[in-house]
Amino acid sequence: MEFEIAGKKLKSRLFIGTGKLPTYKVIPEIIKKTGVEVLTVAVRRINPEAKIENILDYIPDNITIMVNTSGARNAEEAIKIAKAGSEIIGTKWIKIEIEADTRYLAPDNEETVKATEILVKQGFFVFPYITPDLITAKKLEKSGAAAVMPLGSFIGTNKGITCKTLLRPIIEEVNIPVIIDAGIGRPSHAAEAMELGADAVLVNTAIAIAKNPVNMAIAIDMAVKAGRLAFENGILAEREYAEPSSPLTDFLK
Amino acid sequence: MIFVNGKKEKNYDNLEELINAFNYNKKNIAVLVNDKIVKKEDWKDFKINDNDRIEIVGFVGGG
Repeated sequence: MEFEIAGKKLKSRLFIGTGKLPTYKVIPEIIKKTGVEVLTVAVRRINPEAKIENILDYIPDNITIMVNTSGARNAEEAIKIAKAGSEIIGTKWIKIEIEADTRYLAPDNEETVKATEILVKQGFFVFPYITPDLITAKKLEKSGAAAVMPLGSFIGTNKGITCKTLLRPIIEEVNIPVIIDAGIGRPSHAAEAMELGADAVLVNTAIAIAKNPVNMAIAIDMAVKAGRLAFENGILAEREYAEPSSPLTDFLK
Repeated sequence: MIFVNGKKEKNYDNLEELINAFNYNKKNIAVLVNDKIVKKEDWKDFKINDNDRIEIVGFVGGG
């Protein structure tokens, strides 16, 4: 079923990050096999003698490119990266990622709110990556963010949805899409995020460094679809005691 | 003398000339001069001054 983010109708609830891929050549195949519509990219210095592959040669025109500001340490740097990225191909979709901590790559929520406020006013669709905190998410909603992207667990840790008790309130209380980003290491984590009620997930490492990135993308895409379908159709609450699933008979008495 | 991506280089008449001299793929770059973006259509008329810091950035894989 279609849903809408930043005025765009999307079918796929899986967003994919393109970092750490063994080669950009797998990108078209991942797109073909999963129907993914949004990819993230980063902005770096390009030295002509390096002769690296040009990632844009592998991303079809119908894909929405989201510029990630990773590497930024404060709002000012994030804004600079966002604008440079937007200048390259005119995309207005910006993932604000500001990290002042190198061991956990923990997002700086305060600087992220600052950068979001400024970029929204300048006409960008802003997708802030945050440590899951309801109040920050509400501030971002108020400042006009296109969605919020709280982490499931820290980037590249593959630990899954470890912040459930902090994610649930955001999903319940915030009226913009919630995209769970980071920490999703396997299909069951993606399914768990979707069962929780996330609108979408963003996955990078789990796909990029899998033995076969295309097949892992397919597996995670299936899990995203399964989790969403379950969420939409009434997942039951846990119970303390057994409840028979077959009707109890009395004729053996 | 100017600085291109942190490296000392000789100066060029304008940005367009510099980009061409370095053989950049123009499809995947943005240019910042002293932290300010210079739009593609302005490269030709953009005069580079001595000691200008020029950053040439593009997209790479990222999450």
